[in-house]
Amino acid sequence: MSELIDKVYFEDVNEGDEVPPFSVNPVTRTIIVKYAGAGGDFSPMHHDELHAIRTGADRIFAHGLLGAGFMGTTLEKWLGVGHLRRLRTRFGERLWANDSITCKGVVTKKYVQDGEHLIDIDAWIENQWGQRTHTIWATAALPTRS
Amino acid sequence: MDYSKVGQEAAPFTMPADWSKIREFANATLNDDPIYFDPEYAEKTRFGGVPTPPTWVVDMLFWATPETHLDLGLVDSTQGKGGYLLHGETEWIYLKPILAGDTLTVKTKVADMYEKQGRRGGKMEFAVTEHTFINQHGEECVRYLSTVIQQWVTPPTS
Repeated sequence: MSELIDKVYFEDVNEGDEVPPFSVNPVTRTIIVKYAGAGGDFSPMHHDELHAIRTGADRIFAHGLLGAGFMGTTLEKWLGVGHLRRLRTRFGERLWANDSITCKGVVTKKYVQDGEHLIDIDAWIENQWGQRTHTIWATAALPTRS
Repeated sequence: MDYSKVGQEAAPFTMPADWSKIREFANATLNDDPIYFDPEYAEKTRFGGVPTPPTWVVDMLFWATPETHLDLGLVDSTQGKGGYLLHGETEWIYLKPILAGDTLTVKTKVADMYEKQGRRGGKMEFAVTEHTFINQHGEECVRYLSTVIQQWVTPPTS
């Protein structure tokens, strides 16, 4: 019953198509602390404001991996679960507590390789000033209608 | 950083992929797909169970103990020496689904360590670790690469 979870078919996607954007507005301290617990990273830069200030920051900032997690969510909301073959993230500007972000992306390539129907996606996360906190490259394998 | 660590492997460790942690992680990354929250629904899909969100394996890395952790000589902000670490880049390569109830073995090695000239002068040091997540059937499920950058509040004097 794969039709339960397949959302997008290879035939329906074209190079240049945009990934439906996903926003988190804002990324609250609560969201960051919840991710610390779920992901297991208790570096104090991500939950201890006094510690972050002592190291020269003006407040806590989110784990880079939280943004990567948001992009995973963005792509699964669009394509369904279990289609990613590869996800690579470069971390850019910090994602500060209470910033608002949007996950965006565009399909750059559509091709068949080793019997799999694949798309490459250039994606990024930008904050409320348009600065990129994450630059992301993804490859997904899609089902076909035939 | 201790450049002699390149190629070194950590002792592998084994951890369960618990539904409770998978569900908590989906929730924390704002992923509301019912497949993570409803095992009966998940069983009817081609996975036959609850799979894991795309970046979930990072959850397991913090289960490493001093015996299974590679000490690369990095200086983080809790040591009070003016050093702190930034995450530079990560990559997940997906080979097989990981399902709730699986038992995973994590193999870690130091893939690379190098230095570059920073944009504002001073050298930047990079350490790349590779983690392979293997299920109870001996199948490689996910390969995860992580690049960490050593930073300093004030440049070290030596």
